Amino acid sequence: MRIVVQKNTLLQALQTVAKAVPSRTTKPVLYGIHIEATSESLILTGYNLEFGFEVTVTATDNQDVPMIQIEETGAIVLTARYLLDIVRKLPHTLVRIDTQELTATIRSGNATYTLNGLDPREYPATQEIADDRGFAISCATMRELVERTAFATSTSESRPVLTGVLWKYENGLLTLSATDSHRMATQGTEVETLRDYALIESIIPGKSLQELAKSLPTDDTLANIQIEEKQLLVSFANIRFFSQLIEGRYPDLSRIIPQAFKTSITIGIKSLQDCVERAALLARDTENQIIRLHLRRTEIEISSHSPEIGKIVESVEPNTFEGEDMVLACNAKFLLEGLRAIPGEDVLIQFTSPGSAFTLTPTATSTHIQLMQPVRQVYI
Amino acid sequence: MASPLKILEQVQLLEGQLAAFAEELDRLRVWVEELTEENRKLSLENAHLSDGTKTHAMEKGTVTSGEAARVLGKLYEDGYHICNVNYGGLRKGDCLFCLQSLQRSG
Repeated sequence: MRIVVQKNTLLQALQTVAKAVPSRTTKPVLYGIHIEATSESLILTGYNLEFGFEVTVTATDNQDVPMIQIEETGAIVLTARYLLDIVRKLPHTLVRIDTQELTATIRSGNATYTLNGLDPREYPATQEIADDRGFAISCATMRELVERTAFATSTSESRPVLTGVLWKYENGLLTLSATDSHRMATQGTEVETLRDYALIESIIPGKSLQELAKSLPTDDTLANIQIEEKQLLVSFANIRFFSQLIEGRYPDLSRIIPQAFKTSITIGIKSLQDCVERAALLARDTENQIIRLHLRRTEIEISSHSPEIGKIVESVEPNTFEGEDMVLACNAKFLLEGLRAIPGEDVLIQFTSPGSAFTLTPTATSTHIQLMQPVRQVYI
Repeated sequence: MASPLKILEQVQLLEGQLAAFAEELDRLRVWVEELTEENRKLSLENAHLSDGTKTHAMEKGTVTSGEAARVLGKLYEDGYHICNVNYGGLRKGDCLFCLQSLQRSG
């Protein structure tokens, strides 16, 4: 392989694919980044057996500015940790990479690095998906879908399906849902597809999706989504993201959302969030981070009590209040994570009883719903 | 003779594998602990239940659906999942699915 590439282009591509390079693995070749020069483009891949990123740098960009010059095709795997730091510190805006068997020479300005590479043939091949199946949504929407759901996935491996986010496509609506059995978050969006599909249901690891969300641009660039039998593929700009799926059956979520409520409040997200954060300071060492909510027509009193440290009581005024007064306790961390994911300025919270789940939804019409189970306890 | 580079590579490989083994071992150890604990609780529960059923069977011929719900409710209160997502698993905090099943059967 013999190529000349713009330093910034290379660095950007490396930074993206390095997100998929594992910090620990049993397959040492995965500590590297797979670099391949074809006759038209340079393809970089990082992969950790669960998810991967692939960046394609084409010879010229949209404005016909040359990005790379490929003199000879070829491939090599170079250790990500060193490569990234090296490229970041290179002195000149152009970088030349030449490989001879498993050794790469990186030249820029007067600096010459000679790096020992790994055999690209040992690098696991990524599955090719050559199909027009799939649907397209904007990257901003994709990001929203993930950010408003993935936080609710379980971190415990005891029930693997709950560590994933359920993607469900039905009648033109793509819905993402996640639950750890204490709380649930779901968000839907309308999508256009090339063909009519029947129901598609897949479970995608929450961690992979969170990495994907970090890499998605915030603009209206289109992301193409393909869900295959064994993997998910999202392509946007010059990046391809692929992730393994989690096998198993996702529990039925439709029945756990309560339909009738006793108390409904709307309240400013920011003021409630600040209030809960203050109360959480005294609750953070307890197992469930319990805070108590006393719902009254005139004020929502939030308190937290720790026998050794002390207590806090603060009240915040709801915008509207309907129904009965109620006292319940909940997990402050869950409530904060939930509030963070809700778009807009106000949130509608609907309660049924101190022992059953309450819902959080944005006040504007939206397909976002969160469900949270209060903590049952003896009230202090 | 193998080149120093090859040996280094080999050592790195072994190191990686060793770390992975240690991790796996740790995970297994935790798992065994969890299982032992669960086993202890289950045996206890089982003993309780079989005692309960014996006396119950003597008192009453058939189990009604209300009775099943009560037993499930008791299992839940004793700290086990009764939902089909994780039936019989140790429960930490309330579970949305269990409560839903309880509500339905109760």
